[in-house]
Amino acid sequence: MSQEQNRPKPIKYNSATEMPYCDLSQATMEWNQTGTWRYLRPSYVERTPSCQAACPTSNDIEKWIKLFEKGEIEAAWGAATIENPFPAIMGRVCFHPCMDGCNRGELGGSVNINMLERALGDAVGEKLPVATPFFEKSGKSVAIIGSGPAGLACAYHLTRLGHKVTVFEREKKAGGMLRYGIPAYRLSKDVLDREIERLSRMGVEFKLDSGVRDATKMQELKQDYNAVFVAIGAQKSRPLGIPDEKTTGVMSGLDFLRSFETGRKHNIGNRVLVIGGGNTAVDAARTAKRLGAEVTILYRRSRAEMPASEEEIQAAEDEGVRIEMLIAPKRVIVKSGHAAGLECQRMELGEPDESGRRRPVPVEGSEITFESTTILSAIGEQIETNIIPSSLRFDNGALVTKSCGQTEWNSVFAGGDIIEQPRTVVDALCAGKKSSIAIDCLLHGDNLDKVLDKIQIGDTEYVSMARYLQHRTGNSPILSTNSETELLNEIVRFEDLNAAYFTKSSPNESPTLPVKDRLNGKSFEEVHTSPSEELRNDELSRCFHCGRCTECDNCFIYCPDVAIAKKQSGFDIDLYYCKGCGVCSFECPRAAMKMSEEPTEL
Amino acid sequence: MSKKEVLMGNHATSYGVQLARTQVIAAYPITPQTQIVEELSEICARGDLDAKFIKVESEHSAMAATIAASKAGARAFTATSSQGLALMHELLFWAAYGRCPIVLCNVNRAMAPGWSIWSDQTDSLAQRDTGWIQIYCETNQEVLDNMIMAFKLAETVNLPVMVVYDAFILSHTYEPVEIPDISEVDKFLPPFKPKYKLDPSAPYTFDPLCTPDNYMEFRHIMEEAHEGTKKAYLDVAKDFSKRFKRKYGILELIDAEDADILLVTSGSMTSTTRVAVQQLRKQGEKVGICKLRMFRPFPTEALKDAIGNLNGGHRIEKIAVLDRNISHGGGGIWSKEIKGALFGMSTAPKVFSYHLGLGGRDITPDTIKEAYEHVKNNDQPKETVWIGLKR
Repeated sequence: MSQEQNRPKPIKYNSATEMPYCDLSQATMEWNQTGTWRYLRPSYVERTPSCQAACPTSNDIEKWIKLFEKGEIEAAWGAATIENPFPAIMGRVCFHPCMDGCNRGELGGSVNINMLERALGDAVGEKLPVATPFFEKSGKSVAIIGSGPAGLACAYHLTRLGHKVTVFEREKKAGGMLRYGIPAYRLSKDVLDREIERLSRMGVEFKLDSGVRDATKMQELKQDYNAVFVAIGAQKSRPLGIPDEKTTGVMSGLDFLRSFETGRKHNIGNRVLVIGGGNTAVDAARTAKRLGAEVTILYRRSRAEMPASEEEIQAAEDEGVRIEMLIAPKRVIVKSGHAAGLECQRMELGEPDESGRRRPVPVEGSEITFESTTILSAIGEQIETNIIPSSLRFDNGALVTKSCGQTEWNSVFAGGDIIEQPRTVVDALCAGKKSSIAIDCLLHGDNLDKVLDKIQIGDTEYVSMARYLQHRTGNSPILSTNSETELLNEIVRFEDLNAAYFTKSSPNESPTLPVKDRLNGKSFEEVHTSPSEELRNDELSRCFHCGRCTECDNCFIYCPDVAIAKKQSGFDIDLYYCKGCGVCSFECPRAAMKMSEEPTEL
Repeated sequence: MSKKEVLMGNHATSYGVQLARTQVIAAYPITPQTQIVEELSEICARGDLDAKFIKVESEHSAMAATIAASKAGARAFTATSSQGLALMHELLFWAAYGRCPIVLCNVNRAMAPGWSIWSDQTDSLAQRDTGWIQIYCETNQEVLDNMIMAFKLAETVNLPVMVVYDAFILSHTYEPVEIPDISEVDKFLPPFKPKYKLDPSAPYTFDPLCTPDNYMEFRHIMEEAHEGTKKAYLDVAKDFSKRFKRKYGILELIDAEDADILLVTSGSMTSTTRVAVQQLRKQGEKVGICKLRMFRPFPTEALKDAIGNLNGGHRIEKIAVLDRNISHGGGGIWSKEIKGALFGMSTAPKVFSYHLGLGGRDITPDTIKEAYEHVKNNDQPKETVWIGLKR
């Protein structure tokens, strides 16, 4: 109202002789409040970047890239670790589905987010203080069985949510598959130790060498703790199911990999056969290669069906691992009580099976033999079911759970490879986080389903811790810096961007140790190395910042009514003058504005 | 020192614009105008003219850029033709009502469809109500001279000027043209210094919302400027003739002193009519020419004076208006304007109207003579007569 009263009036001329010869202002034009013409109004929004929607941990990659680019490394690390506890680890081992989602892929190639995440983790390195809890101590305690990525993630998030966490681990060191399954040339043990040490310093209690060995122990934990999270993974190698597979000289790829961490040494000889096409097979093959053996992977389907990551397969081939496709083992050839080779059969691809991949069918009379000093089997891992109480059901080899890993026993949750989900580190982190939120809801008496509606990213099943914190507290440390900015769950696709503002550019490849260096004395040094600052910054600058304002000033520059003003941070839209033409929103390169219908005044 | 060269009409325009030290040129190519801006772009590229040459994506943008340049205090020029001029239509009002002294060269070309690149005045005459001054040229010398005078006139009265001539007949045809020395032109045409211009240190909102309380006054102020334009043109022309020894008026009378019938012409058809009149006079016909140079503002008083006061009261009986244009449903545009101007004048001649040369059809001395025969042999004008129509 006061605005109305103070509104200036148009200048009044008594005679045409007082007027200028053309129509131009001789006093303020502020009386001409063109905002009354408007039927659409612009506003600033934050939409969900497509990379975030493609990441099982819902990592707000755009947010930390922006901070990282400004050189605010600790703030960037803080933003990244809201969702993902371990940038340094994930920047090494993640198969980076975010990069498949990245809209930059349409214009030269996805941003090398994986390399940047590693750079972020390494830039912080040893020096960073631990992530601080968001809440006061709740007085509730949670037991976690298993210290693999699912267990660690759940422990991390529950600690930040204010709960006391104890992790039970049967091995002598924490880390699970991160330590015993992933070779050091992909993830150095120093980095892993450092990240786990950070959790200890946050207050997570690790009970090592004290696994839960039977169902009774699990029931005790259920009594002693407010909640339990079971994340024992899938640690047992699937048997080959062929004669003489128990002979000396045949071992599981997983045991072989684990032996490096436990200190056991195997004499594998100079001719190693690896059976299988998954990541364990490729890891075992590359490890054997580093020990000097001649290595051949035998896989029963074709390369297109190999479940291992394409990058890993390529690296194995670069290092001289041979891959024989469409070969299935038939029996172990035994000489003097030791496996001396493998009799195999050639296969051809038939009709697609239930996994959608073409089923291998034996070719009659195509037997072929391979000599070996060691045979490593890696055709998949199974769950050790003996610690799970029999009242909890398994289906198709996975523990049956409800939403967010909740089992039939309401205070017992499960996640990671033990449940039905993709067996990757990032999916394990996702499961750990989802269960931590479900447990937090349980301990607060909150309705999980209603909460999930608010925290799920786009149409995915992934959840955002940032949005959960916003639900719990009304604000969030990571979401918009501007309280007027509306947060939208809509995912930004390439066609939502104004691509005219972006130029094509190729991604920077992650720096890689030359192949010859990988196979000499430095065998177990990491294959990938941290990027230089220059390389990193160039890659950071390739981010489109989909759905997020970067203060590029386009809205400010293009507004024909000068109705957009720059603030110290962000912009103000003067609705007294905005005509709602939409130029600002159209010229926004990154879909960080929206036009909405003018509210009807009553 | 001036020099004489054989120039096509379009290049006469280019050199006129160069001599006027135009500061901003924004144009979009269209036949038959293209060579004007081609030559200007080369003149600018050579550094012979210190102008900002703006490449645009349409005539609409060309006019918009020119308006903005003029508001910023720059002497601005554009050129177009036919459909291009039509595309500028909305912005022609912005230029005129915004009182921007822009000069636009329009090479007359027929409106499509039928798709045509040939001469016809309908394109420019159809813009008569946009508030622009319009000047029609007979020769390439007139083109160059009027281009220079146009800037001076525009800046004197704060109105935009359209200098118009026929496609191909002038635009692409070479004639001897005297090119004045730029130092002389500089004395004739001082730098552009507008009273109001875009200046951050003395800010104005240009062309803002104007309430009904003031709008009519702005129209009246502008109408007075148009009225003043007729005298202003004569003053400019007088100054020009003093310096460059070539005379120009709002209209010109040729062989009119003892004439019973006047042929009223505009543009290049005047030259053809001169030949026809020479031939007719040899046969003893009392015929003359009234050549109109200015269409807007319309020279009503000058026309009345010319037709009413010949040779101390000699009365013209009939005039034949030759229209290379058509306002469908209304007839020839010059003709209508002339009838309106003469209406109520007791000594007014009978006005006969003729369509000829539409869409670039050749106007020959015989075409003119056919019109003359018609006007001579009819007592009363009826409907517009189409000369050379294949019935």
